[in-house]
Amino acid sequence: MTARADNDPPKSVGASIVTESHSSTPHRWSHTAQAESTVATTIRRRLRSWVLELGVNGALVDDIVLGVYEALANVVEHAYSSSPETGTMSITVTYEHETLTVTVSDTGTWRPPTSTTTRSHGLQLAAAVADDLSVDHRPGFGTVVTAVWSKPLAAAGRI
Amino acid sequence: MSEVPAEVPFDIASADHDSTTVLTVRGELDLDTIPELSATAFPAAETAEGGLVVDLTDVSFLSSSAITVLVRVCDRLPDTSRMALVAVDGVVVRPVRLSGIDRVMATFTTVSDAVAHVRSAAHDGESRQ
Repeated sequence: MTARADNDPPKSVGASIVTESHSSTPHRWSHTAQAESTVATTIRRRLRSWVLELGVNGALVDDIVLGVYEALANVVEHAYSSSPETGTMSITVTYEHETLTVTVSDTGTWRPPTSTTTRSHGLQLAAAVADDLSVDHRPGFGTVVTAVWSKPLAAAGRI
Repeated sequence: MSEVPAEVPFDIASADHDSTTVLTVRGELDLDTIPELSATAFPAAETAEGGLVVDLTDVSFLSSSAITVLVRVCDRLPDTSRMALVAVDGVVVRPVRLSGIDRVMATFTTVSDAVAHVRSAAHDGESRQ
């Protein structure tokens, strides 16, 4: 597995990193690795820790973790299924202006959901738990899924 | 990625409550662990003459891929058998409701209620034959 963790603020844009005095939690991080299920699981656990450190609580933690995992799992299962080799997936997590934005991207091929009744559609589940979810895919440029949660530190008792 | 907390190891155990099979799942159900769910639950379902209960009380994560497997488990039941889930925590209840799987199989908060439900369904099936 080739992995590149980037938890420290990039030097060139360090001034744009938002930090709060009471917390050393970085408000932006990204990670790029092979699109494999073990990687998706590791990123999911890392995201959960980060979301809790940020101060999100209650059912919203579970919603964020589920929604992002579904986007990652969608890449693992489908993005490179028609390619000879598994490519990479990237996640970027940003908390800025009281908004949590998570993008999950790949360089593979977008495959529209099938109508198979027994297959739950992960991105539909992701859309249901996010405040906003968009999917941008262009042939040759892969797919970018962007999930947004507004004011995640203000929410309580969402279920 | 060094601050990742240790998780409860995944585990699935099968036990018989009289004629009803109860599968107790612990840990996270995602792409990594659903092969283990399939390996245990598919054969268990095929012989679950008195119904099948899947206890998800101690499951700390449930993905859509795991829900798909649960639907396939239900498809393998004998004709007169039914399946029910046990779920308490929102981390399981929410994806169960959002996916609509609760329209296919009933969800209870205790194993005893779930066993009672599938057992009565099995008796109903027998009485219709």
